[in-house]
Amino acid sequence: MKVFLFLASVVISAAAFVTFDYFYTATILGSAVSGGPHGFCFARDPVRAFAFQPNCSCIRPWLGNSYEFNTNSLGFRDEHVRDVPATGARPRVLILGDSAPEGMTAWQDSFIGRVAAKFPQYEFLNGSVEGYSPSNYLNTARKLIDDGIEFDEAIVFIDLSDAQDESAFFHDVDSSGAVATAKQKLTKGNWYSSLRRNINDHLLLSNDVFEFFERNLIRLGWYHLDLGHGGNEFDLERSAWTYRKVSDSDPYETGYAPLGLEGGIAREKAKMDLLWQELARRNIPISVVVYPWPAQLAHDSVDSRQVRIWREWCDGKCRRFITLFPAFFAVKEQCPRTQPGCWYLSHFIFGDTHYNSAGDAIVAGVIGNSLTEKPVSKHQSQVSSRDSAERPKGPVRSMEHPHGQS
Amino acid sequence: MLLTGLLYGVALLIALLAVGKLRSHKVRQCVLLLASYALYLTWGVWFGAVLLASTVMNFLVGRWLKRQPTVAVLWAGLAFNLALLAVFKYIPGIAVSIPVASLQKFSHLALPLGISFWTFQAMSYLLDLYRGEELDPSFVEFALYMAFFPVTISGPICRMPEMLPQFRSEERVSRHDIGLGLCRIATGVLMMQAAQLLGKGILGGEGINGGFDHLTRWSGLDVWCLAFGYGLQLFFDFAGYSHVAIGAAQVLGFTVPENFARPFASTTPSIFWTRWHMLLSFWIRDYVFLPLAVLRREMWWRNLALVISMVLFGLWHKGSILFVLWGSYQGILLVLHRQLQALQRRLKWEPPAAIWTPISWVVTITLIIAGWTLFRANSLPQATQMLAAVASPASYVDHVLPRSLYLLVVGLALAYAAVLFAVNWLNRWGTDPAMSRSEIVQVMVRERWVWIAPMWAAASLLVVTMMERQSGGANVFMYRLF
Repeated sequence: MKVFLFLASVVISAAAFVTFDYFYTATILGSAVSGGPHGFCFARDPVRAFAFQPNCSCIRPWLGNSYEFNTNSLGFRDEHVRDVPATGARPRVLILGDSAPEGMTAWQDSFIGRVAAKFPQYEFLNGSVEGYSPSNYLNTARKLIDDGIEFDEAIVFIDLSDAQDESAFFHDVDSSGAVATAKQKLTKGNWYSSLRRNINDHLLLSNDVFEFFERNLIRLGWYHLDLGHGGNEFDLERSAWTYRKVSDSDPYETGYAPLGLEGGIAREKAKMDLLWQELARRNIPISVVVYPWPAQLAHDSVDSRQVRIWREWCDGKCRRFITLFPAFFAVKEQCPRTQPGCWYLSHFIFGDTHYNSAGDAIVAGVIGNSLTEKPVSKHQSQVSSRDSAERPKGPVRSMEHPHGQS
Repeated sequence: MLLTGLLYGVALLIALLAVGKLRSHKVRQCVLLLASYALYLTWGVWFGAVLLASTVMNFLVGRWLKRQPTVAVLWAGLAFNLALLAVFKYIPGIAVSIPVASLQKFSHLALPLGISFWTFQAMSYLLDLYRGEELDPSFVEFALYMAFFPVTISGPICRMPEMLPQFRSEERVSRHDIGLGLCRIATGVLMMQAAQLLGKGILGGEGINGGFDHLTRWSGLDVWCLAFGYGLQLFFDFAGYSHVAIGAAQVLGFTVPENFARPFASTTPSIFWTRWHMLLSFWIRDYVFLPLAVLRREMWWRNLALVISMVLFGLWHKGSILFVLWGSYQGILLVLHRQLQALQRRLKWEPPAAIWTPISWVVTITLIIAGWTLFRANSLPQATQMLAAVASPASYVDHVLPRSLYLLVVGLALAYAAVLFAVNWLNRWGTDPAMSRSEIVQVMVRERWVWIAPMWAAASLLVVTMMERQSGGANVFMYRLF
């Protein structure tokens, strides 16, 4: 009888907990911020498939947090809404990349925001947009050139997911370089992923309980975190190609079809070649930055394939090649033996592959050192945007809102 | 808070082992004293020095009083204790508000933990000796009485005649006592968590603390919600702590008197003050009100003595005009209740209890709740503004406080009421022969914690996770501030 009473009480208590949690979560999420009058500042773009609206201001939510988001007249993320003239008094640095340099946090916490604050002698134009890859790094740079916007150096943050984006997500719609996105989205999932996603989405308090255990398991070095949003954060298909085999036959986003991994990497390089040529014609130096995802820190090495590919590509082309792998592996090595996974909790947003404030500070520090060592100077020779008339132009076919892509 | 809880748990475990294994009460006393001081010193060596100095001084005055039980010796002892309170508790507060150079050196003095509680225990010891109580504690016994860790930080205020025989008992602690004690600790912890949740609110900054500290405008409804919420918060916090203290003492085989007895069920102000912070209430009654009241026979004097006693009750918490006003208000309520009783007797009017009791309950609780505004307000102008909102019918059309706080206050009040009803039902079932024939009811009544434990765990988890979602603001036990 005692056992029956105990078990009945456990069931009733758990049910009461979940019921309360459900309504509590609905209340909390009901009062959560929405994007504001401009939604989340996304817009369709005839060349890049998607981009940010110019001069837009909104509140963007990201994994339980939200932050103020502003774009300038170029449609680039900026500290405030502002007009960007064609030329500037200070040397200009164009940043190209995806979500990491865009910053999934407040401007002042993002690493570009930090670098911009530390180097007021430069003007930073952050052309990064989540979901972009070399095709759009090229398209963004071309658009600036076409619009007559001058800049003095381009720093490209090559992301690990770019290989999959180039092989499976973006395809050229014509010879102009304009891109469209893949329609098919296949995600692998099991019952746990599904359960975890539902808890994550509808039961905040239960999610906290799960998170408590997940955090401590990760701290102990058990690199498994599946919140139901695409798989294990420490072994996502998008970043796993540097240390294990990935599927060349599955479509986006579980695999790399139609081009396959090597095809995707070749396309990345080809687009970067075009970007380098475009800039070189105007004497604008290019720099490349590579940085690790949690998967690389968990399973890969400092000399990851990503690092080797881009170091090799940079040879003879780049003003600077910066790898952030050593800095983050050093952080990993500082974790005590009893807590080998502490690096993830201290330097990444929990449940995400993006850096948190501490991670962003490391990136900003390394980039800052490079800028101090090799300052950006205002250069004289900019080729007229009329030169770009030589490039083929073409129509747009497919556009997709990228929210949630990295 | 977590560290405090852990240290408290370690001290309790050591003390439990000592009490369980050691036969000699003298050795037990020494181990309990060491554990108590070790715990107290973790909050500050300076605090321990003040406690030790007070212990030595009061013990010596006690010896002196036993040999020479004169008013002069008694007042010397009381003056020492009052001076101690003045130096550490009242002068720093005055020094902050009055810029007199000679007072400034006191303004940064830290308040030794529980000084109001153990100083009142020391004074009751001296007063009991003066009244002729046969008390002959050794120094270790007296030091243990002053520092006994389950009650040192925040009471309940014990008295030597109750504690001394227990210190000297050589009885072993029973498993039953340990079980009951642990259940009380669990109950207390949950209540304290609920208090913290009320303070912080369901959504960040939308709790009672935010309502008092960050708003500058309130509607009448808001003030009632805040005042009632604060009363609940204070009750959950202090009654919860009292549960922990009484439970911890029970685990060690000691019986510490109750400090709360369902105060929100009180139907008159007089009953309320025999149910809320009872031990301070009884202390004030025995050592302040009764000696004052017998000085003159006139009714006005007795009423004045009542008001003076309640003002002292207020000042015990903190030396500020708001606590003087709160004490006066409570004193006036008690006097008005007495007048009403006298009028009823004179008119020989006995209204039917079925109608009168609910009315009396509503009026009592409403008046007590209104008083919490004075108790919690940050300044006199704030209290005035809040009470003006209560008195202004126009202010009731709107509310500034978030809906989540209204829901939280009402939800916790209903949950508490439901628990009280459930406990009543269980107790009734236990004594009802018809019901107790059912096996399941018998087990439910006898083995309550078998099925209450999962509910306690779920409720506790709920409160903890909700609080963890909110940033900022250390969890501080409220009565530690007094």
